[in-house]
Amino acid sequence: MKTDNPFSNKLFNHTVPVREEVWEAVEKRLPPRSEEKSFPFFWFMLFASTLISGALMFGIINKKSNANTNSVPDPSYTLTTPQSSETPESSLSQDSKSNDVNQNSTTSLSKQTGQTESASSKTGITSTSNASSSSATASSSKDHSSNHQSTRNQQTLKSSNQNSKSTTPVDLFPVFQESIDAESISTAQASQSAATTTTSRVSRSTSLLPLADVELYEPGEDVIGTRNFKPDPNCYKF
Amino acid sequence: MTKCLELGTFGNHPLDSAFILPLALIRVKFVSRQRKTWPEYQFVSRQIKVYPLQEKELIQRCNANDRRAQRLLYDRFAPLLMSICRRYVGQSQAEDVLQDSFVRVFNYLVQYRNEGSFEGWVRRVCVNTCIRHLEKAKRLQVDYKSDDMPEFAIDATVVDQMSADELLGLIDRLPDGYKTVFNLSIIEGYPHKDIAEMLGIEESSSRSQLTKARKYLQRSLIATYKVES
Repeated sequence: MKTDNPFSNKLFNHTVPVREEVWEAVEKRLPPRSEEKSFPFFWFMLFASTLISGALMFGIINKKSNANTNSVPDPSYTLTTPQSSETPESSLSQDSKSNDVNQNSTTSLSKQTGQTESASSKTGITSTSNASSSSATASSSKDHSSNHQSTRNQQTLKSSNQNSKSTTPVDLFPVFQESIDAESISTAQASQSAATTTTSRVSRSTSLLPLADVELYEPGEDVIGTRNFKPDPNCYKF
Repeated sequence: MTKCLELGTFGNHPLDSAFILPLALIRVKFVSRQRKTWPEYQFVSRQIKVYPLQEKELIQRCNANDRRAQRLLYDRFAPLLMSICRRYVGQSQAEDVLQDSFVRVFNYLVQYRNEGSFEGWVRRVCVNTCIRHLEKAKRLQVDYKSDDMPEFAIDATVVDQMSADELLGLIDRLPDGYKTVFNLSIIEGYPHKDIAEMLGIEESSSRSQLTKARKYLQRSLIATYKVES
């Protein structure tokens, strides 16, 4: 607004700086602020980032634990099988051929251990029940343990890694084995008291894998060892 | 993690990266609180610098009681309205009247219908607030005494050479009645009819007040700055 009037020219758009306190006073006199309907961006971002961080941490920790479990297992856990003469290839071929072979093996095993087979042979799932009351169990477990004692020192995991003929693949997958039931524990206790210092724990395998008994050398460590034991699946090629 | 921070080894472990984003967010919040400004406000003000908000949108947001928009409106007009208040009511009470003016602006913003200049509307609200303040304080008294003093002709270049603050100081010396009419007529440019309506006086009274204000200024110019007529 340019006019001939010097007052107007100089003072019409003249500005004076204002102190910050004036706005605070104005703000106090204004009606209260309505609640913000918009989503609180900061809290949303914090929540999301925390979730992402948690997932990241979980992933890293899992990866680390997997790396630990996939490493070479502790050789102090020595696994033995009664079918030490069988090669993994032969046992696999037996398993893949038919269920009859599996049945034969189960029967042979039941003969060895004095246990009776009670599962259906059609499905191939071999769930045997222990004959806990028979005296033959003790004698057979004696024989069994004595047989194993001769092969224990030779069939360590280290040696099994080097010479795959001595062990079956199921030895390296105790994950598939069923949990210890009361009968097997009592059997193991009976056998322990009767014969040797080692625990003879007979576990059951699934149909996908050949039947084998797994024994752990040191009593008391077997539960902890088998639960956390995850062998490297690449150590044997099927 | 606190140990890591103390030792200065934070970031060496891969898990430390999980803490970086939440920590950065908390830091942003903390710093913004320290500065008494919110990140949203900073974002809006930055946005306005690049893409100025449309006046219409700003008014709509102010009507919705959006505090950030109200602050933006205040920042835009406060220095101008402060100058107006200073001219009408003087330095001592200018801030109080400025507060009243803004409260009235925000309260009556709903009545603004986008007719004419928004700045003109805001100015008008401020001038009305100043006049009401003067009326309340009974400072707005019309001098009906006849002044037989002759009017001096002062060279316009003298006033041109004066600064705005000098002119303001000159106007401050005027009596409130003279000052109000002088401001309304000479600086704001209102016609005498409007001035008479605003002040509740007759049009002739407004004219006479202006004449007396001019003579007063001439005399003070001669006395203070020793301007020769």
